[in-house]
Amino acid sequence: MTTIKIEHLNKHFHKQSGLNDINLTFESNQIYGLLGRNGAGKSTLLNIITDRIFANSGQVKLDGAVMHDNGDALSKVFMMSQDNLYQESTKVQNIIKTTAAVYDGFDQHLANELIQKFDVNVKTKFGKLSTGYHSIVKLIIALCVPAEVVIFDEPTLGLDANHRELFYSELIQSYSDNPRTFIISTHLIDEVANIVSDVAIIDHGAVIVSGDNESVLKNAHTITGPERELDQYCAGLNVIGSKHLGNLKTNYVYGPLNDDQRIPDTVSVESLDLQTLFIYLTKRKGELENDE
Amino acid sequence: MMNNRMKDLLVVSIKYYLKVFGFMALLFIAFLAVLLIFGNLFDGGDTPSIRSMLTGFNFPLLFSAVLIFSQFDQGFLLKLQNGFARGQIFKNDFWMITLVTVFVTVLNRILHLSWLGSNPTYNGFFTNPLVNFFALFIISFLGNYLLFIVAESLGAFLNLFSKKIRNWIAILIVAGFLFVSISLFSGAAFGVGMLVSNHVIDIQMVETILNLTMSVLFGFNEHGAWNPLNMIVTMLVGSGLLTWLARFIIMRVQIHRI
Repeated sequence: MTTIKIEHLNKHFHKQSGLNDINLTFESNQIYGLLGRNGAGKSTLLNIITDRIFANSGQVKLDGAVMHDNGDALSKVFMMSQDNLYQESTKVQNIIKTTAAVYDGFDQHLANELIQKFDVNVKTKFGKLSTGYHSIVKLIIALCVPAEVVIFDEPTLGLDANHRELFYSELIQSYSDNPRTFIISTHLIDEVANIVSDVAIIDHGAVIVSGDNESVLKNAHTITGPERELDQYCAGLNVIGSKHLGNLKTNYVYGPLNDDQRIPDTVSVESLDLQTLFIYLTKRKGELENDE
Repeated sequence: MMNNRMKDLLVVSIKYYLKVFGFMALLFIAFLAVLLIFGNLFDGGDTPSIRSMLTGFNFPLLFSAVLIFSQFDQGFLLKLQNGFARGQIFKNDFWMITLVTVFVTVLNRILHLSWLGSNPTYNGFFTNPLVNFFALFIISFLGNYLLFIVAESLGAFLNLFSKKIRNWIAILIVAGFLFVSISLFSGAAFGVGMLVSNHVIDIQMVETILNLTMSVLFGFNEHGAWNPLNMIVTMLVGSGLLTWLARFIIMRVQIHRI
């Protein structure tokens, strides 16, 4: 059982706020989606978890032990980051060899299999690879290390549709073969919506939604109907966005509905998908046309 | 105590250094072979040969210092990527530097390259040649270690900043060091010269102060002339302070967006 607990984490960059009082828990053997727009603070948070950068205040604990400068705890968490921390002049095969040397239990068999599937030329120097293949090499390593928590920061950066599909299927396969905690940080919500069991949405450096996927979506509704009836029904609900289409209006609601109130016949309530929920929770003023 | 991961990391680091040293040794041998072919390898006559120029340059020492300095950046990132804590990274680097120091010191003793180790004034302080040899070996070892730990500290220090600022700092450090050393030396020499010429102090007083300072640092007239033990104590204190400084800096290095 490996649990990561983040307590009152704050990070500022040159007086600009990066993360504000983040409190999150990543339970073991779950697949988390850490969702946020560009610059929301996802990578900053993940870099602090893996002790690559320091927080201004607050702490990250792994099974109760503070992670900062804790070799035992850090060895249990592996992060595939957007930044290339591997030496550009090193051949891919040597990068894999070095990783295998310091991680007892590195799955070399799986690594060889993935190298073939993704068609990676291991004799090429890391610096000579394209952006997509940089990601692929890092993904292969991340799937093969025996870490109890594996973090993917924008894993599909530069990957074509085929490789993205292959990655997600390998991720699910790897999880079913060896369940462990995966944290996938991305802004491509649609692609991970069916994979993740839990989500945390970050916006402007703060967690605005967190919980298991099912209960988050249970509280997300699309309510459509004539404007007057709709607004009457939605009064007091947490409307996160609206859209007009002819005489009809759609309200996007995040939160529990009023069970005591009868739904008018002209109004329909449907569930909201994760991507739409994300869009309306994180939209900036004037971003969506025809929306209020 | 070192855990298994730390041992594995040390093995990886040793292999890396052996690879680089092996490559450089091959280059060096190839270079010497070329010199041999062209007949300017051996000393002869009054003009120094290329070989003596190369050995006088103390190539292994300077090459190792540059290697330790320049590989800090990538080494640090790779270790961080593989889940090592900063304390462990420092420990690994410390052991690597110690191993490289032993290697270079032995090599220098074989090739008689060490400026301190072959210093005739230190050599011969003790009557027992074996004790003399060990004293000089320790001096040579500590001298080399000092240079390497400075290289490590400097490499770590530059990593406190982003790549862009890092390059500017490197230029500033070199330029600033030259400027300050030249200004200090010329200023002090000018000031002392003025004081002597105006009869505020006499030249003997300057000599006494210099001798006292030197005797503390290098053991000139302390417990007999050229006592290696004084030098060893000075270097041990210096090494300890610089090792602490290197750790202090490494504990503060963070990654920068690349």
